[in-house]
Amino acid sequence: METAARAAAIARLAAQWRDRGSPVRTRARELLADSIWPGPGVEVALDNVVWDLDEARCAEMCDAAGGSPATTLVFLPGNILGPAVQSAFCAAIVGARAILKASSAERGLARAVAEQFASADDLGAPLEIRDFRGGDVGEEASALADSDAIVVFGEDETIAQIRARAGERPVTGYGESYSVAFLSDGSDIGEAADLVARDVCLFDQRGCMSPQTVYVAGDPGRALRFSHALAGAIRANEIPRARFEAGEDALVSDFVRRLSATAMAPTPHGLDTLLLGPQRHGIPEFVVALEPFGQPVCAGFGRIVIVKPAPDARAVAAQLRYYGRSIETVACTPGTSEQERAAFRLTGARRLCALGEMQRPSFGYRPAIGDFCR
Amino acid sequence: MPSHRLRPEAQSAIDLDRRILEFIATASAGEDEFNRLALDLFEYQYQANEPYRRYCDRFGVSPASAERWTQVPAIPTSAFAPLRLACFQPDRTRWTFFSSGTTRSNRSRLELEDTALYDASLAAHFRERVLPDRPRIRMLALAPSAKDAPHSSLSYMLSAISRTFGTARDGFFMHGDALDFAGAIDALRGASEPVLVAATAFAFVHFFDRCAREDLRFALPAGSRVIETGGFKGKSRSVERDELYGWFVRVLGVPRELCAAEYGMCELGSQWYDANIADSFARHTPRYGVKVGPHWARARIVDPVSAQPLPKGETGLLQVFDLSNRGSVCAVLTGDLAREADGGLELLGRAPGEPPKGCSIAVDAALSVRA
Repeated sequence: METAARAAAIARLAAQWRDRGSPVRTRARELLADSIWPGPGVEVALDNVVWDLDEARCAEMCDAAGGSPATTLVFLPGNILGPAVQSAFCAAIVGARAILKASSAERGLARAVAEQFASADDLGAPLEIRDFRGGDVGEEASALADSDAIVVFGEDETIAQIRARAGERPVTGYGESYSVAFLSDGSDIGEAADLVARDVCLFDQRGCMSPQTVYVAGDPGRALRFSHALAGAIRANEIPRARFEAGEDALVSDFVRRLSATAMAPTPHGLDTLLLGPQRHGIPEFVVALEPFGQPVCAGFGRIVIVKPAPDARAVAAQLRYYGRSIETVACTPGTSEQERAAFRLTGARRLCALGEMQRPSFGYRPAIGDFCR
Repeated sequence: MPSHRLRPEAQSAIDLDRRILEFIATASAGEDEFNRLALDLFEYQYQANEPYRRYCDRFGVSPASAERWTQVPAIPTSAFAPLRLACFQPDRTRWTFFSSGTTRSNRSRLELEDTALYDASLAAHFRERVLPDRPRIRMLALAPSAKDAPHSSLSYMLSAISRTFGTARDGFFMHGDALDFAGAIDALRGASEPVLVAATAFAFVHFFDRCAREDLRFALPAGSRVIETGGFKGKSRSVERDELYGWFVRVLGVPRELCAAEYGMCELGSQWYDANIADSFARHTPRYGVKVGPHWARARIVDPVSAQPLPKGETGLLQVFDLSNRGSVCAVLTGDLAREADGGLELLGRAPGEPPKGCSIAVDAALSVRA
């Protein structure tokens, strides 16, 4: 198929994902009905999934795609929604065959995109799903044997194990990393709280693009005010919390006990520094804790957000640089200066973005088009 | 209100240490004495340990309101990483133990201003549970000495045991990150008197893998014993506990009843040991897999969500009140699952989602690089 025609076909399929009334959205909704994700969260996640993949972008990416298409096996994550669809479209843009291995925690989205691609007979990019349990080395070996390249979303240990079994095939790993947000001096606390709440609530702080720690430039009083604004914004957010997973209640309880020790002392005028959402199954639906300035604190579950007062962006960047773990995204308020952004880039953070955009990276960021080429 | 809480002056650390040492030395000390000392320690720590006081305040518990040690808020072990939980100024710190971990920021730490209590606690319980039959035993440790690993509580414990109960022929067969396999083999082959072989579970696995490759077996003298510590906790090559203990019997020639596991952690001054060694010397039926703690520490099993005590026999998180933790926090909530069993505890591993921790992990990481 001609590049222009392929780009147009891909763009048409991508547009269906942005249309809440399209057959593919209806089908995805059905397939995700039994998942842990609440309906409103599913809708927002699907709105985001290929949000910027219009015809012009498709054409540009199809033109720019270098290297020859590689049959690519993708180990999908179970903690967020999106990579299944994004992987399928990346493969389609380079004309590669993709083999999607869905996580046992979430298989619906891979199926939805596979059905969509199967009905689009002019695409020329075969998409296959393999369902096998993680750790089933026999099934995995068979999938590896059919692949030229591997993409893995998961824990570092899982990526290392797959890399060890992948032989000479190139393995791109999207492993453990953490994201933070930064409120510059003078930024609007209420607006920032609404935007951070959006980033927090979509995946309940699962996933590497969630704002685990929010640094607030200024004195502790400003960070305290932001903490309360954020708690209010999370409470008001339209996306309900995902269904509890087995053992999550114990994890959240343990983290809340830890935060009971590490949160700053409550202020004399009565504003608390450990803000707990309504109780469900014996645990709070969300947690916002104000801690002293220092390294990021990353729970990675339970809608737990840590807020820290910070002297300035440079001091935050220094904490990130010596954190010892990968920093994925730093989200900043519009008032963050170019100098401050440069300091964040030097931390090794992979992405800088605006608050509220943390869960909505550009198409081709993760996975990348190049992951599907030799 | 009990009169001990009305004392106008804070208990001094020296006074408390003296009373704890007396308690450790008095096996017959009862629940009332424990409770009195525990509440005095709570009062002291509430005053001297600011992060702990804040923690207690969040739960609305203070020395004025607590009437039993069971009411004292237990701080989670996860709080020992981000906070300095010490009752003295940093310039008084003489020893610092770190748990294993990937970065300094996620490693728990215990600071000691002196080691008198720590030493007394580890020695008294070791004597009772591991060495009830003899004053000394030659120790062969597949672990670094305290000199080689000054921040490892396990290395400190093994060195202290060697100093107190060992002989001039004791040996530590890990230097830096390297296991001195040849030295350990020579020591085991040349053993003409009972020996205590001590190591983390992981170090034993590496050692036995090498023994299997070289087809080595030993027949250690009667009275020899084995202490393993650290567990597997999901790293490297895990083996079933029965398999590991089978190697102790087949490869080292130590009878099963003299092989036991130790349970301890950087955050606690006291240790728990499998009951079977002491049972065996007392001519009782050995209780395998049942951990027994010292009389100066109390263990409770609590609900992982509410942290409230569970009925006997149910599985939950292990919570400890350890009098020997005078300089930090006595009431500690671990991340380990356990249940009460036959006069002690049965440990069931880490709670789901808890990161693996323990000395065994550090040893495995070092040895795996060389495998």
